[in-house]
Amino acid sequence: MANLIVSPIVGWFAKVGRAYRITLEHAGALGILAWDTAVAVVTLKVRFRDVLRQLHIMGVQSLPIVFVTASLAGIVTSQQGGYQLISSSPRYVLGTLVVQSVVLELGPLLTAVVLVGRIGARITAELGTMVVSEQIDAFKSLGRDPVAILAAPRIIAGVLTMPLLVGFANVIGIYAGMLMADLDGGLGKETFFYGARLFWHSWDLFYGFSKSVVFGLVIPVISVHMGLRTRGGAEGVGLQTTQAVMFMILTILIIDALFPPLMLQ
Amino acid sequence: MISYKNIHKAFDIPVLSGVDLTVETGEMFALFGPSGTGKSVLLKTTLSLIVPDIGDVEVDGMSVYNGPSSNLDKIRRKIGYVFQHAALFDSLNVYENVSMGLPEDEIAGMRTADLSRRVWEALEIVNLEPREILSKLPSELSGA
Repeated sequence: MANLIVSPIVGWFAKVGRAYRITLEHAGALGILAWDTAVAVVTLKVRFRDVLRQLHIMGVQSLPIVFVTASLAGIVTSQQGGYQLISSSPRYVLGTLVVQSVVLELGPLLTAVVLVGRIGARITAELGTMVVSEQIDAFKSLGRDPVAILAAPRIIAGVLTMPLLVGFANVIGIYAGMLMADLDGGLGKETFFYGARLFWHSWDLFYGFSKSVVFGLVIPVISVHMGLRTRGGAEGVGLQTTQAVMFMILTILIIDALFPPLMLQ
Repeated sequence: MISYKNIHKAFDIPVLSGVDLTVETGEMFALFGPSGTGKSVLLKTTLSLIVPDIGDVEVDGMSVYNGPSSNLDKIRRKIGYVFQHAALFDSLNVYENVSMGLPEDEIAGMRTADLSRRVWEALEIVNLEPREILSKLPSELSGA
């Protein structure tokens, strides 16, 4: 009888303890990875050519998907905003709505989500495959530092690329929203930008770019960390990639929710 | 000489429990055993690719785990380790793969032309045509 009562309680504590241990393990490993990367950068162990290659993969090759995402975000915001404001507010407010939505939220967040799928998953799968095929061990056995060769270029490229992509997404999103406002509701360019300027704060741009820098750091750090923890064969790589994507999206959404109280007060 | 001293390692369950083993210089030593009994784990502790929970490894008197960190660099240069899977870096081309065989500090002090010559010579020794394959990725090469 006592066992029937005690066993579930012990089991519950064991689950909580395990979750706590795993969280601390991840936090510790992420901290060590960030530190090792900083050391590799400061000691000039990172090859410029590797960073350039990652900049091309993360930046240039991401432009088409960012273009499509930002265009659609601008178009939908413009259409839905027009629908909601049609009888209650001056029409120029649509310019405010589109610009503020894109700069403060949609540009950074959607670009980050796109990069999680395009870059984060790729990094985890790539490094995970290298782990299970012992290529990481081979680097170490040859006296090479996998963090300097593999992790640091990706992390540096992520931090540099993300603000540029977000800037591109902002321009495209606003332009697409403006075109849709013209096509859908006959709102001219001058009226659209009059509304945009009326409530414009330069701080908002800084806010959006601050987010993008943090997202640009979080995506490669988590994806590298998860890739290097891969165990097992092909199944392990698939499982780890799925978990990495979930981990990255959740982290980005949590960070996104922390930004307004920290920077918009 | 390689000495394993009281090596313990567990991955949820114990894999190695107090392994003591010495392989003398010049000795040819084969390690046999069923799958999953820790042969690879023991070998990987030699280069700190897997860190034992307890114990130490000494290579020619240099401790892997209790000595200065420079010991590990020296030991890794002394030991050639053949991995179970394909030993090529599939994201690097042939030139970069071959040049990985040279120590990092040696490459740093080397002119690009000299490095290219060393890579070229290494490929010619194994009857590969450098001109044709230097820029190819391992996946673009014939398996044979």
